[in-house]
Amino acid sequence: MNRDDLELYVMGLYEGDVAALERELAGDPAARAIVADEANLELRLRDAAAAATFCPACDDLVAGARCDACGVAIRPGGYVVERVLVSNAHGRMYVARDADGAQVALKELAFVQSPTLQAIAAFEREAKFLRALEHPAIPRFRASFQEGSGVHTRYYLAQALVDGAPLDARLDEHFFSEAEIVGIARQVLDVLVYLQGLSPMVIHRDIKPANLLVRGDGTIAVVDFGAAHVQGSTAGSTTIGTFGYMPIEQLAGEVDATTDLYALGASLLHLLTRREPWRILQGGTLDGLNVGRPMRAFLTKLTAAAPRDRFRSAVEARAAIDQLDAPRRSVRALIRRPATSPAAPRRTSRWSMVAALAVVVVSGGGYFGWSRLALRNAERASAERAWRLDAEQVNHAERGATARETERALAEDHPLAGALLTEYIALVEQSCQCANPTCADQVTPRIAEWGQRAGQISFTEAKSLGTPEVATQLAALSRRMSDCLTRAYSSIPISAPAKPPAR
Amino acid sequence: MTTQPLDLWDDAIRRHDRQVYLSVLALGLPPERAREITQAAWTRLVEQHRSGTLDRIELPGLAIRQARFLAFNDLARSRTEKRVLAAVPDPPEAPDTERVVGDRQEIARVLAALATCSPTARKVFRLIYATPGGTAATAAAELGLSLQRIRQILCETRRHLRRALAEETP
Repeated sequence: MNRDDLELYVMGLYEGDVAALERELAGDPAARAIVADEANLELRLRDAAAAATFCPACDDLVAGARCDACGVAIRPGGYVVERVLVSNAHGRMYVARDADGAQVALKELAFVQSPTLQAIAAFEREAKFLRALEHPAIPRFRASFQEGSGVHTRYYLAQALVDGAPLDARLDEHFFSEAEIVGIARQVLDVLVYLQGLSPMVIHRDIKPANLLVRGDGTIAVVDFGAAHVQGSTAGSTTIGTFGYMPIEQLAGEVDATTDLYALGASLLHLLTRREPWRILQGGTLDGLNVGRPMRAFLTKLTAAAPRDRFRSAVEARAAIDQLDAPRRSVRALIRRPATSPAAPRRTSRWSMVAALAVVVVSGGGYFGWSRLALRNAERASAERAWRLDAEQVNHAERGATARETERALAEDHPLAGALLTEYIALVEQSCQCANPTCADQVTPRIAEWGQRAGQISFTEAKSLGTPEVATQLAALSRRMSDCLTRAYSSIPISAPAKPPAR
Repeated sequence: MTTQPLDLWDDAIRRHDRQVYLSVLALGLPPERAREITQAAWTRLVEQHRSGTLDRIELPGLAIRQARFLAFNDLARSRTEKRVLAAVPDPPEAPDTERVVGDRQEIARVLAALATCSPTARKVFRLIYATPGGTAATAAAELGLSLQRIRQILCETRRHLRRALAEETP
């Protein structure tokens, strides 16, 4: 028992037998005096730490209102900054806590960094709009204020924190299926319907994937109203927006109800194809887009070059999307995606289809192969029905039953794959926070999504499903599933999928 | 689910128990006895809270005062520990101005020395000492470093700060 051991003991880091050391200490006053000395030091360090203010960004010790090293604000307007979300040339976005302990997103605009009237006007405009708007998909306004004077002026806008990630950030790790695109479009259109229903009508003017945040539960929030505009105001002559997502007339400062619809269409194209929308739209036609005909028509109308050719309002677009039959084609769209680009001809040859299938199978198996493995003796129509998992089309019980039915069929055909799927469902159910006891609402779409990539789930994606332990297990399961399917497919003759049943 | 008072106490104990234990250990008591006294201090506070006799709950200060009060009583009662009792100072009756100034100077010295440490060392220090319930394990998870590395950084930082305190002490 030397001094180092006693120091580690006091710090709670002693790795030896603590009980034995404590027994020794009980009979050794000299050692206890050392422990008392170390404990005193520990208390003094804690006192010092309690009295110190650390920069939430660089951990430097801060004496004033902001960090001398990196300039991050410490307690602007009484909000305690916890971390920096975004930092750019114009300012920063912080995660902070208000006096009640609630987390807020605190936007900071530093005049010295962005000394333009346009930037300040955008900031004030956003505060003005957020104050007036009330929609579950729009972050709630909390406060706006400014600190400092002259060139040191900083403007702040506090709004409810949206716990989510921008859609463009998901592009690197996620292929959006047609069904997901429809879901996103529906949610954004709901917001646009609300904005256009206000009097006077509000136009966001900067709809793009970076401004659409997806929360953990899959709902979308529309953020950044710095470019928003009230129809009829004189500020419309200023060009605001993001190139690639805004319609051509917006460059001239002309905006109307169709402006946000065009931007939404461009955003959906980006998500679907992972290519900049202007590259696709400069071709003038979306015929090469690898989606169902109704979806193509919907996107074509959203992104029409002339405003008169677009949907006249968000209400009209919302009604149109309700009639879309897109999710049912997700299987085929997914199989075709690796082999075709939006510019490629619509008709896919038999050989390219087989090649595409082979790519999917070799890379861990595809949804199609998965379903064929499970249901190869079933009718094509019933197979199609089994995987028709759109949340708005099938009720909870039916979807829960579908998952279990598929699981049973799979277990009969291929015991190992069936067992893995059972394990997977149990894990997802275990991690799911929804109120539905059977968890079908959460489980089945996730199984479908996961099955579509059949074993290609990444750890990051798995992490979104639950705790790190569950994520680790899911990722491991995914790898096992991938191996299992690859082996299983090697013995199955590959053929092109039959057409889905006519509607 | 509404938060029950007992849940709040559980949370408070989880966050501050270590500091309260150290404050008793600093008096020279054996670890086992220090742990018992710490536990007794928490139990007393929870009972006082239940009976409504606590006006203000400032933690960990209140728990530390309670624990040290119990510890001094214990030491005073124990004849065999007289030697240790003689070695430790009496509990201050009221804040002594000189002592308060001394404490402030100590804190300033520690912070000045901390400012000269590496950013990682400062991070580790903040996560362990300035975060309630912070441990080497939580710091390792947060910083993505091994527990061994955190231990090493912490020991080095602590020695640096101890030296700073010792050098400046008149």
